[in-house]
This record gives sequence, C-alpha cells and structure tokens, in this order.
Amino acid sequence: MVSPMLLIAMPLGAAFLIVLLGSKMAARIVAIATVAFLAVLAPIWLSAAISEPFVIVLADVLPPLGIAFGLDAVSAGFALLIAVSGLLVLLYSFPYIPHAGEFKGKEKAEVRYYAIFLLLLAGAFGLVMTKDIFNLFVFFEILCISSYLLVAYSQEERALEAGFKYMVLGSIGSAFMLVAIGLSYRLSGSLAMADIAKALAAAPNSYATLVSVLFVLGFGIEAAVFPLNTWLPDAHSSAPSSISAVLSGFVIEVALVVLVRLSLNVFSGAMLSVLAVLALAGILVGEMAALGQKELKRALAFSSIGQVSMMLFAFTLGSEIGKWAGLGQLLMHAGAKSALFLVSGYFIVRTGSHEIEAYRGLGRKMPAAGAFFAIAALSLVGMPPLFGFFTKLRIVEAAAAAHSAIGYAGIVVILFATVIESIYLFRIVRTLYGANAEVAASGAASGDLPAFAWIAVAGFVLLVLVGGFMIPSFDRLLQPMAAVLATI
Amino acid sequence: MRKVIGVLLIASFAFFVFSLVMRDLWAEDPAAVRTLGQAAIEQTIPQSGAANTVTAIVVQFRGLDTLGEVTVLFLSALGVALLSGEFAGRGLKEVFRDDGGFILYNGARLVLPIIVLVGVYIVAHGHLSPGGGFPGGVLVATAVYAVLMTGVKNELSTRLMAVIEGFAGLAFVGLGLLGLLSDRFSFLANVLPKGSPGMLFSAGIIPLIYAAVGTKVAAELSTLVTSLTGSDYASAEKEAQGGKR
Amino acid sequence: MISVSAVLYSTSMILILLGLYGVLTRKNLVRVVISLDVMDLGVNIFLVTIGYIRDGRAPIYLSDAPLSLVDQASNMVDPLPQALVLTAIVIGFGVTAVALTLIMRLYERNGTVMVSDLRGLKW
Repeated sequence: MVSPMLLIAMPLGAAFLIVLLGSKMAARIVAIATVAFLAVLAPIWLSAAISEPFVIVLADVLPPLGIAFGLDAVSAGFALLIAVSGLLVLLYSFPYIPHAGEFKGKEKAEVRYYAIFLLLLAGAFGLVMTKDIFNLFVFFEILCISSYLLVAYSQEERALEAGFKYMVLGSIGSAFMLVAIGLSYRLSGSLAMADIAKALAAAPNSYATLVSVLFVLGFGIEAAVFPLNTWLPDAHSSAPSSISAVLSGFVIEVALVVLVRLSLNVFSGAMLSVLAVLALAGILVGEMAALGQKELKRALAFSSIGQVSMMLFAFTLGSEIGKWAGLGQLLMHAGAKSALFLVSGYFIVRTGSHEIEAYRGLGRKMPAAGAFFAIAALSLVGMPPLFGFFTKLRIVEAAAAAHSAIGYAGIVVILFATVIESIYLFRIVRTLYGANAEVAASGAASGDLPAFAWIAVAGFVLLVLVGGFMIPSFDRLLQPMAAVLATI
Repeated sequence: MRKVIGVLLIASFAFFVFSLVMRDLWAEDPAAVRTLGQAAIEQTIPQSGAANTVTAIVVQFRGLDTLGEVTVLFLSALGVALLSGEFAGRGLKEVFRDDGGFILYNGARLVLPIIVLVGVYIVAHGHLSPGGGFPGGVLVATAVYAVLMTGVKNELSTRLMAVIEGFAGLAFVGLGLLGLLSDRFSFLANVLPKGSPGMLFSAGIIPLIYAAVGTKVAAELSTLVTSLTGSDYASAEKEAQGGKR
Repeated sequence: MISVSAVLYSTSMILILLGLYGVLTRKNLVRVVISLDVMDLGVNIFLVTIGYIRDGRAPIYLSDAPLSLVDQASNMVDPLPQALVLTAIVIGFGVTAVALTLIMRLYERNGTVMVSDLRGLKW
C-alpha cells in the first residue's frame, strides 16, 4: 500500500515543480495529474482506513516527541472529498481562469494560480490528517494564506479589499490559536492532541474553558462560526468562482469538522452548548441576510453561512445520529454549493454583471447551465427526490431524538430557514427562466458552458441527483466516520 | 465610538484572561509535568547527532512543521509576485531616483562577500550554534538587497530565482523521501550517518536540509524584493522593448 | 520579588492587547498591519516565556565545556517553545509581506490607505 503521506508530499512537490517549469501548459498538466492520482488513490485509502486507521511515523521519531500523524476514517473521507472536488474545480479552472480579472502579467499569474491551488489542497489534507496541535496550526496557516491569495486573484478592487479583510481577521484568529497552543503546552507539556485532552480533563475547569474559547475564536473565524464570519460574504463573492466553490465546498467544512472534533474530544465539550446556540443564530442570520441580496454570489455566500451553521448544529447535538446527519449534510452541501458557484461564474462571464436581475432569461440561453443551477438549488432547499431532502430530514430527526430544548428550537429554526431558502432560491431560478427580450436579443450571453466546465459542474450535480438513491451506500461510509469523529 | 467599543472589548477580554490564568502563570516553578522539551533534550544526541537541540527539534523531530513553514514562505513569495504583477516594469530606477554614489556603490561591493560569507557560515553551522537556514538565508538575501539598492546591479532574473527556489524546495521534499529508506519507512527520517556531535560534518541530513532551506529562503526573499520594487529582469526587458516602440 | 517570567508574561499580554486594540480601531491599513505585528510579537514572547526556567542555559550542547553532557542537560531551558516561535515568526513574516503587497495594490487602485475611503471594508 502506498503511504498516505503522498497526500502532503505530492501537492507540495508538484507546486514547487510548477514554479520551476514556469509554463502554463505544464502547470495545468502537472496540477491535474497530481490531483487525479490522489483522487484515484483516495477511495483505496478510505476503505483501508475504515477497517484500520493508518498511523504515520514522521522522521522516525515516535509521538509525542515527533508529530502524531495519521489517516483515520474521518480524514480519509475528507481526503476523498477534497481530492475529487479539487479535481473537478481544476477542470473547471482551465477554461474559466483566463476570464478572471484584467491585469498585467496574466499568463504568469495563471501558473501561480495552479501552484497556490495545489498548496491549498495540501493544507486541507494536512489539516484533517494531523493529530498534533502545532502542526495543525502550520497547515491551518497554509490553507488560510493560500485562500487569502486566491480570493484576491482577480485583483479587482473588491477582491483586494475582501482578501485584506479576510487576512486581518484570519491573522487575529491565528494569534489567538497560538496563545491557546502555548497554554495547552504549559499545562500538559505536550503538543499531541491526546495528551492535551488528558491534561485538560484533569485541570481546573476554567483552564479548559479559556483554552477552548481562545481556540474557537481562532478556528471559528475560518470555520465561519456565527459572529466571526463577517469576512465570508465578501471573500466568497469577490473570489474567482472556482475559488468560491472550493471555499464553500470544502474549506469551511474542513475547518468546521476539525473544530468540532477538537471541541468534542480535546476540550471536553466545554464549548458545545455555546456552539449550539451560535449555530442556530448563524442559520437565522445567514438565511435572512441571503434573502435581501441583489448579487447572486453574495446570496450564495450567505446561504453557505446558514448551511454550515446547520451542520454545526447537527454536530453539537452530541449524539451519533447527529454527527451522521451533519456529515451527510456536509457532503450534499459540497456538491450543491460547488455546482451553484461554478455555474454562477459563467453567468458572470457571459453577462459581465454580478446582479441577479441581469440574468433574467439566461436559463434559456444557457440550457445546461440553467438546468444544473436549478437542480443544485432545489437540492439545497430540500426537494424530495434529491439528496438535500434526505440529509435535512435526518438533521431534523436527530434534533427530535435529542429531546432537549435546544433540539426542538433547532427543528423550528431549520424549518423556518428552509422556507426562507426556498423563497430566495426559487426567486433566482424563476428569474433565470423569466421572459426577457433584451437578453434574448443581445449577443451578451453567447454560448453555454465550455466542455471542461460542463464536465465539472455535471460531476457535482450528479452527486446531488443520485445521492438520494444511494443513501444506503453513503451510510456505509458515513457511519464509521461519525463514530471516529467522537475520538481523537 | 469604535474606540470606546474597542477599549471595552479589550478590557473585558483582558479581565477574562487575567482572572483565569495569569495568577497561575506568575508562579515561577516550572510546570510539574515532564515536558516534551525535556524529552527532546535527552533524545537530541542519540537520535539526531546535532549539538543544538532547537535545530534537532525544528529540522528532525518536528520536520513536517518546518516543511510547512518553508511552504508558507514559498506561498507568500508566490503571492507577492502574483499581486505585484502591475508594478512590474516600473523598474528600480523609479524607486531610487539616483544611483548610490561612489561611497555606497563601492562600499556595497566591499561588504558584499562578507555578508554572503557570514550567511553561509550561519546556514552551515545551524546544527551546532544558534542560527540555521532561516536567519542565514535572510542574511544572504540582504546581500541581494544591497546589490539592488546601491545600483551595483539594477535587475535580477526572477526566472533564475524561481528555478533556484523550485530546486531547493524539491531538494527538501527529496531529502524527506530519502527517509523512506529507514526501518520504519518514515518521511523525513534521519538516515545518513550522524557522526560525532559538535563536529561540522555530523547530524546526518540536518545540515543538508538546512542548506536547502537557506537557499530557498534567500531566493524567496530576493524574489519578494524584486517583485515589490519592479526590478525583475523579465519586466525590465519588456519595458526596454516598449521604449523602442 | 517580581519574577522574570511574571514580567515577561505581563509584557506579552499587554502587547497582544495593544495590538488587538490597534487592529480594531486604526483606520490606516498600514497601521492595522503594524498592529497585527505587535500582536504577533506579544504571542511570540508569550511562547518563549513558557520555556523559561530560572538560571537556565541555552539548549545547545558544548563539546568543550567543563560540564558533562548530562550536567549540561539538567538546567537547559525548554527548547520546544523556541522551535515553535521560530516557525511562528516565519509564518508571521509571510502574512505581513502579503498584507503589505495587498495594501500597495489597493493604494495603486484608490490612491488611499484609509479604511473609511474604501467601499467594501466595513469593520
């Protein structure tokens, strides 16, 4: 069996190689070959990790002195999600990225785009695999810095501003995280998560509370936990659409799952009830804000806040079925939201506008794009035969099974959020198919999705289409993942 | 208004932190637990052969952190080059209106070899004394700055820097993969002979990794400055062509 | 008597809080970045202080010292936080470089580095 260490070493090496070669064609080939290779290996690692987790000894030094590292069911599942999403988004980037932004030196910038994209993937892989709290910080920074850069990629004014805002908040967060790491090291004398968990459980309660508050402040910024997510709508709406898809599709989710895993296992659940309340507030605020947006990508970004908060709520229920439901929702959201952002990227390219109103009638001009958008949107709302219906239903079931005040409050909030979601998503879809002589006549919207973009979007849409019918086979993967989520 | 809110926020946060931990932190006795640092001090010589325990931790025991750290630097150099695309071609001449003058020009040429020598010394002795790849690389890069700022040379080929950077990065990953030859088949393991601690040729792959890191840091920081001041070679060429037209 | 580590811990906390205050209130983007650096500095001092022990020595073995290796090891300061700080400094540097480049680009586009003159930045 090939060592899962390749998940880190290959994207890193490929990024160095791309910069070394320095040509656009070589960059595309190296990037797609690397990610495709990992996407092929990931299912093999996943099936192996479910029966027995990989333990990776780094530098021939056993943890805790060395870095504790490994691939268990959760990290292998996420590695598969990241690799497949990364592959599809790379395919989409080939035709799309030349449209992103107007600035000098675009040829060279495109080479750098693929290098940074690979580093983002490496950061995400590392984040889910590491069991060492400082190593977590390092991979977190790789992930964050590459997202700042990719958000600002188009170098339009709003992109630069959004990137800067994201960066300032992210840097404050990482400072808090470092303080939390220092405090845990002083208490436990170790950086391995398992040792810190033991030490924090034995320490006075206030200590664990402080460490977890600092950690949630730091990590919550990336995971878009409710009051810390002010950067998200700006960043996700100003980034190139391929990057919005990646950020909404797995970056927030990876951060969220790591945060949940640490809160559950290392910080002895000190913050769980607080997180549950924040999650409900996040659902309400995100969906309400999405309702009032005029720009499509901004509305989708606010909807991401709502959806991610929904997953966080499911995770904080604490029960096995809650985690299971949360993971299902996460998978559905990765498919649906990526597809929505990718399609909206071409809406913007074809019309040159970010506003929903400008897309009136576009669904008829771009039949495939319109159909993909509609299916993904319906799944996000939770229409019955689609994947979204089943995942949302399971969250409601889990909330009901909790028999607690917060669980019942959650059901009310989620149902209310679904109503709001359906209002604004249906409105967008109706606008897409509305009559508009102007768009029909003008040549602005010429052509549907290019072939590579079509394949990428179809891949994501396929997930939400067949997901509902494949629930049993997904469950065989999600159930062990949910069980592992409750352990380090 | 925001100042008041800021002060209130900070004050409540400070109160929270102080009330919970500061009293505990002020007590000076070292933590009662045995820390990883103590384990590292004991394991440094047998496992890595380095005299400097910090280096042993940075390069070997927690080598993956260092690989990540190098990646972050690489990312920021990439990012600066990406975002500064539009400064390109403006040229250093516009940033520094006059040349350095006789004293600066010749002074820079005089101290240049010394700076580079000290930088290389610090990189090579990383496993024996404070220093290593990062500070040494920064020193070498300052020599490049001196060259650019005093007008000894006006441009630097970013392509060459990218090649050096890429090779150094691949060398780090390659040295890490060498570790797969070890018994436990582990990335970044120290498989080369360790020699006797305190000697220049000791500590296995640690000096080699630090050499790669030093090269990479020097190349990256040079790229940073050239792309920020628009003095990269390729764009200077473009400007010259534009001038002819 | 006030101990050394008490002084250092307090300094680090004050720097972190000062930096945080600066980030929240300053309107000049360059000052925001400087505040972030002050905060980073505080965090780094905090981390180094964790490894402090009274009368400790640098965690480097000397082959020509009068003490045996074991004696040398007995009162070395904790090297691990130092290694962490090394990493943290480099990461902080990388972030600062990117932040300053973003500011340069924003300045080029808008001719200003003040938050209030930028459209999208609502703090």
